[in-house]
Amino acid sequence: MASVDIREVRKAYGPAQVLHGVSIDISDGEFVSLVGPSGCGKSTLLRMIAGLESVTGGEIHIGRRVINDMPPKDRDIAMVFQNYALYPHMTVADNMAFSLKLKRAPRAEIERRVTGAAEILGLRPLLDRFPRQLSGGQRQRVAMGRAIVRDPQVFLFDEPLSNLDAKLRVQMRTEIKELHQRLRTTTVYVTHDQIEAMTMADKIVVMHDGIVEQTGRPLDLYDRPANLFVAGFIGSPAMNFLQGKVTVNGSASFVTESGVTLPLNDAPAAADGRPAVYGIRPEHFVIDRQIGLPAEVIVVEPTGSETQVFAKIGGQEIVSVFHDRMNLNPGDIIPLAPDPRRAHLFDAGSGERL
Amino acid sequence: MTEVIAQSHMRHWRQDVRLIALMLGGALVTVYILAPFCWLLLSSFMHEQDALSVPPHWIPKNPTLSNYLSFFNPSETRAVVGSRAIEQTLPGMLNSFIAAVGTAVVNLVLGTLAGYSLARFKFRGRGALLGIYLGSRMLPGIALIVPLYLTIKAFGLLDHLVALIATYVTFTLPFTIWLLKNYFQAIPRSLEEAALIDGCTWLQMMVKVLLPTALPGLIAAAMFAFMTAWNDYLFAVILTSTTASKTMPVVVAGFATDVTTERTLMATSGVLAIIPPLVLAFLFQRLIVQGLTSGAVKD
Ligand SMILES: Nc1ncnc2c1ncn2[C@@H]1O[C@H](COP(=O)(O)OP(=O)(O)OP(=O)(O)O)[C@@H](O)[C@H]1O
Ligand SMILES: [Mg+2]
Repeated sequence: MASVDIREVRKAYGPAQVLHGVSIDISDGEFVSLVGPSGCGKSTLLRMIAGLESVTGGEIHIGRRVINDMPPKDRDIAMVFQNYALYPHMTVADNMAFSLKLKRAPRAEIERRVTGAAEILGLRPLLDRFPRQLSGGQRQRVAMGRAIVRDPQVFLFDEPLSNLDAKLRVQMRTEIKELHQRLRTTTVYVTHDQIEAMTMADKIVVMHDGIVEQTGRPLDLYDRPANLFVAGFIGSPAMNFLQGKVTVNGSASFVTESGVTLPLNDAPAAADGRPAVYGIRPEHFVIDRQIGLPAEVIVVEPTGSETQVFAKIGGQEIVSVFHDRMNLNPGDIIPLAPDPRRAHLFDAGSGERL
Repeated sequence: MTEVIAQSHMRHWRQDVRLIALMLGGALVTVYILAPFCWLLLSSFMHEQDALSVPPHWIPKNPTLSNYLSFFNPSETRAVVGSRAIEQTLPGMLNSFIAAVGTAVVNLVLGTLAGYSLARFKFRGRGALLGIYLGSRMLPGIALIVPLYLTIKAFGLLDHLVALIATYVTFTLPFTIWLLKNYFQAIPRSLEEAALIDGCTWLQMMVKVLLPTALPGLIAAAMFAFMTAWNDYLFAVILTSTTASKTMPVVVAGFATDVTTERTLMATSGVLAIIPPLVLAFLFQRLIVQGLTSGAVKD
């Protein structure tokens, strides 16, 4: 096992800059998730750690070694690909044993490790099958088995679950997390599914257009997003944003463009009069006749465990989530109040948190 | 209601007619293709008088293996009437086999390297190169016969199997490269990357992962090259003159102008000529059809 240090790493394909100086510290045994929208450079960064892409600038360390120019086979990493990439002409057992055979590990050792991994992943009865004789979920497991038999310094995952159906994805999510808790191998896990990242990772790195927007523990990112991008990316349904101005004289408050006044617990004095964005998560609304603002219900979506209510406050559409069953109809007017302790303020220009 | 039923009957009836017509057509084509071969096969088991009888008939009166035996074990009488057929058929087959296998091997080695490069790397002139390869297929062989003959003569390679192999490679390699390029392109890159991460060098990756995965494509390419060389008459007749390099098609064609050759012996040599490619086809067909690649990735 080892730590991974990524320092000011850049990547360019010809004139096109894809990564603009990315720095991430991954400590030994940590499970780090890279998230971000499509095309932000997650896979590129992961492939650079694996040695499948050259490094244009900066340094990547695994343990204490700089591995910028080291061929993949010497990096002692294992990677699970989105499309599994199993060797089609080998049985499950041979797929898993391949790397050990290349290293000329003793026969008994190979046998022991392959059966061990197969045991963990429930692959024992499938060892003699070929990849074409497996279901998608089983193939995924073999791909993981191939990684764990190696007992590598670092596991790299590139959206390993995105080809599975929703139910299996949730199941495998738990299995991978369990596996990490058992093996404690440093893991870098790329996904564009923020729920996957939230549930599995010790640390999340949110990327956007080739830069790191924020790094932190899942709930820290959720509770204190550093900027508008992270605030909008983490959380589902996404945070509501309302444009307007902060006023700090007396008790702090926020006035939206349409003139509705929203409560604030406090705001930095420097923010007074500045154009800003008021962010509030859907679950941080209450229905309160005393302080609620009149909101017109547009759509009600019950999911069983919760109810999502789309409504308009002062002409602006917002979404709120309640854990009670709501007996509402489109057109109803309800008194909706954002919880001022849970409100977020962002600078309208830079998008940074105020 | 009754109308609907009548219509559906009508539709069924139409489908049946269509099916029967298709089957009849298929049967006709099969007969058209197989009849000459059957004639050849049956003749090879006839005595000469049997084969020459008028009107001709299909079924041998007293089936015999003597025609086959005489190729491997020439007898006195046969030595007079069928001497050329007997002398030249086996060396001709051997020459054909060497030329075809040689062509296939060279195609595989060069085609794999070129096909891989074209599939995986972007380089200046890649498109032009592919265009030229494709364009070269448009050139009829006959147009090149004279310059080819003169070139090979200048090299002193007339009546030499090397010249034949070189010629066949020239005409087959462009197609092989295209075939293998497309085959490699269809194999996901992540398979190679997984092998590199698992600890392979590039060469190990090729030998242990990529080529086995591409096996059906490699076999198809080898079969194509083999058959092209095995069937060629045009180049062989120009470039060969003795049993040192005469191939089967040239030998067989020679019988037609040879007054002393027996029909049954010609038929037998024809059957013998079909055996090697037939055996190869049966051996490899299973491998090609099996679809070795399936299951590598989620598709
Ligand atoms: N070989 C290449 N040549 C040129 N540009 C490339 C190449 N590979 C990737 N890119 C570009 O780099 C950027 C980042 O790609 P990358 O695959 O890392 O995105 P990603 O974050 O993994 O997205 P996704 O979630 O869709 O997988 C994209 O804009 C892509 O177009
Ligand atoms: Mg990606």
